[in-house]
Amino acid sequence: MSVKDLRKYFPISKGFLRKPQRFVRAVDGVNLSMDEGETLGLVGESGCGKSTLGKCILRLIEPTSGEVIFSGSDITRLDTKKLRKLRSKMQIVFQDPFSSLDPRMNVKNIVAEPLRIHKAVKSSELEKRVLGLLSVVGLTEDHLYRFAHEFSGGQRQRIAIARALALNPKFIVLDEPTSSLDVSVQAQVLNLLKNLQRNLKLTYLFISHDLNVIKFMSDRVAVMYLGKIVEVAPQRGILREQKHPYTRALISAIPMPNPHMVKAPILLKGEPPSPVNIPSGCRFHPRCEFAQPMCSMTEPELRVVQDRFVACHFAE
Amino acid sequence: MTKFSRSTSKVSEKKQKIVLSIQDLRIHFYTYAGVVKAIDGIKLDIYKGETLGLVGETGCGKSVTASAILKLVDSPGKIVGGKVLFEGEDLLEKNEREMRKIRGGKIAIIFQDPTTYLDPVYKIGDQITEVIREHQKPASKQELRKSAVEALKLVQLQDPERLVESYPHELSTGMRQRVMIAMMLCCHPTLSIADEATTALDVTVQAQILRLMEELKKKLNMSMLFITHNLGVVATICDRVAVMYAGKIVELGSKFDVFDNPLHPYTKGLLGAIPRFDQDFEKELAVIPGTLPNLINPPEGCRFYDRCGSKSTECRLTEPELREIEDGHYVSCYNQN
Repeated sequence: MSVKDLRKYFPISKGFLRKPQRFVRAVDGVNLSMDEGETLGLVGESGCGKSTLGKCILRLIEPTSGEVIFSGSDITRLDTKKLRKLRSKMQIVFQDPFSSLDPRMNVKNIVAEPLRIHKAVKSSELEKRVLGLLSVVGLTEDHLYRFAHEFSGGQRQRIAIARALALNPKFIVLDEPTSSLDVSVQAQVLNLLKNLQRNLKLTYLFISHDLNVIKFMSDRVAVMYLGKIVEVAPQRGILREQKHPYTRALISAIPMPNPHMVKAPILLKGEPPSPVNIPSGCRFHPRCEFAQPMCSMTEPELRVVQDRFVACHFAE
Repeated sequence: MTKFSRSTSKVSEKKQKIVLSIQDLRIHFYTYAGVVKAIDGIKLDIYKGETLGLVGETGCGKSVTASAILKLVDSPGKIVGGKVLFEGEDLLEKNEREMRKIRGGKIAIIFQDPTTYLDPVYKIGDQITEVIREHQKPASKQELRKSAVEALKLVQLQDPERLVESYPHELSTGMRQRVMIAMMLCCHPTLSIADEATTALDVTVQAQILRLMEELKKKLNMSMLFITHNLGVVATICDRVAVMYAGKIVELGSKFDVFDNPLHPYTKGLLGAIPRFDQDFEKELAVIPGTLPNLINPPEGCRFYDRCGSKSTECRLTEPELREIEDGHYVSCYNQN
């Protein structure tokens, strides 16, 4: 899976008949690649574009420009028929287990829906297949004819995961899958996701604002700021050191459950910017303590520095 | 990273003055399915100048406990017993008019989402002065505006003169939360309650708000009840921690006691289940098996019994009391040796 110069701009129209003058540049030129079987963690704060990027990769939102290459094809160029075939291999699990499951469908129908749409299984085999998927996520026959509202958040996420696995996908976008779950429930779901990846050789794009969860789940971590990737590093590397000032601030800000380590976080100047008014040059420069005149003039490229990629003029 | 020595933060309880004392609080929810005994007799004291963390997962009762302090428990919930002693009086005995004078005045509260709690059609300045007018002697428009500007300066907001004329939608989430804190503090409360006040904030914004609260805490010698499910935030900002499970306090102590030496199996389970950025590659997170007990028919014994790895017969039969195991460190569990 690789992504080349992906952009998604949302137009802001200034009235009913006038052409849009300004755009929300949610994703503003992203390059990424993922190897089979790896988990790429995508981390950033609200408004950075990580959710939009995840959805663009699956063409749940149509990208404005750029390429998404999966299984040898650029999926942004595919027609509906060909796209549908590939879609079975690319799935998503959303953050909110309450709104991502149809309240009018029972568990069997929720999990069977993708199988029916893709005519993947004979109707006589359907129930057996659904039961198999449920058992993989730790649910049982008792749950088949119940409805979503009868389950807890953690169980609903399991149903969503079973549904995502129905068509034997190779790639799954996990968009904040445990953010609305309690700590103990989150632990169960994360363990399940890790086991599934190992057993089924899945590739994950794991999106979260929680660096602790990202570190636990990922092989590599990509940090996003205002529509662009600012750093991509191996999981161990990003703990050891951070080469981009934003990554450094992000990590210093995480409160650790250890009262002996109450550290003074790097506090960023100013307010988080809006993706409507993107600063010139390096988009992080207004908040960066190391900013030089060059930073407000030229946008840094994502380049290789030692074991990682960094988009900063002064990283070494 | 700086490390703070243990001695500067451990609170010696015997010498401290108690600001709020919750005694044998009972809150029941009357639902179609039955009566949920959500809070069934909890006892908690908050000392002057301390930040007490109230931590637990969904359904443990931490938010409803905070609501009870301000007599804001709504139907189908009902406070059915206990006392909440504040400045020598039982708040649960007070009528609505008296409580309205206290809320926002001597006891103030902020919630998770600043967007929901700020009125979008009124200017920031007007919303702050509304609080001031409610609780302090009458003052002129100029004096009130000046107080509002001072409140915004206290929470380190830039350009307060311009901000008082702004509307909430013109501010970022972090700024709105600072405004909520300003509204909370403008009448110099004796006790502040923060209910998941940083949960909805980005991590860098949260760091700023927590730092602000630390500074204000010292400056105003304020008592605070900080409710959250985030153990990292607790370790950062709280002095003492109370861990709640299924409507009961299962452990209570200084943050060093609870994090360094957790005594209750639930506390241990919770700490083991959190992924840690600072720890190297873990294969699996420790999981607490089972689920919350049904509080319509709560078990006779310990509410954590079904999920506990170190239980005995005694645990099943009688509910353990909160006992002091070492100086200031309490736990409700029989298996302490």
